[in-house]
Amino acid sequence: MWPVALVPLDQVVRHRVYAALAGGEHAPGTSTLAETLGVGPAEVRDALERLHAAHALVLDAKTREVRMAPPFSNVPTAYRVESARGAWDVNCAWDSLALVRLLDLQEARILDQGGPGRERRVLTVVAGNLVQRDGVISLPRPAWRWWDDIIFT
Amino acid sequence: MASVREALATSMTLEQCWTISEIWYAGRLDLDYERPPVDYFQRLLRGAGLVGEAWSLLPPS
Repeated sequence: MWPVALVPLDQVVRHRVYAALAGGEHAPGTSTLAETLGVGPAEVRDALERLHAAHALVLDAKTREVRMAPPFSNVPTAYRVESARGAWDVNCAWDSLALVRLLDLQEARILDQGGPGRERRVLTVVAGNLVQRDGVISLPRPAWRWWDDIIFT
Repeated sequence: MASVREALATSMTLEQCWTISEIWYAGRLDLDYERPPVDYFQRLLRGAGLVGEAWSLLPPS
């Protein structure tokens, strides 16, 4: 279903992107990755495209720089996770919970700024447990179509 | 615009999402990326009670 063969450089690029985002920073751009890794920008661009094709990262449609590294968002969204360790933009409600698990945050606030048909809401994590369990997360399309447009999803 | 049935079918509770997130994401940050088989994630969704056509990862035949 995802017939893309990743090469070692792709893994290194992915690790660099995730390390930056997990540290509360923006994902490094192509030129920064190239300089840091000592490879040419074209090689980094190719790696990013393979990772995008493999659904390991999501690139911006125009700039072809990292837009999403699920559950992290490289751009501000309506969702944010805050803890003593830092603060992160995330892509959606699901990714808000995913980030807490991924980083093993024991204490955190999950902020949903709200939107059309959706109220502003704050969830809290205490001692590694989600305190508020009432609520529904709605996805705009069936699962087999999520990746048709993952940013819309 | 989705029908009411479609909207209901593509919703999950916070409880379900919290459960799935633990299984899917816990401890994965340092792993090399390896796309898991589709059926693994499908079983994960099914185990959380997310069944039916809207939750199928493969398009309907």
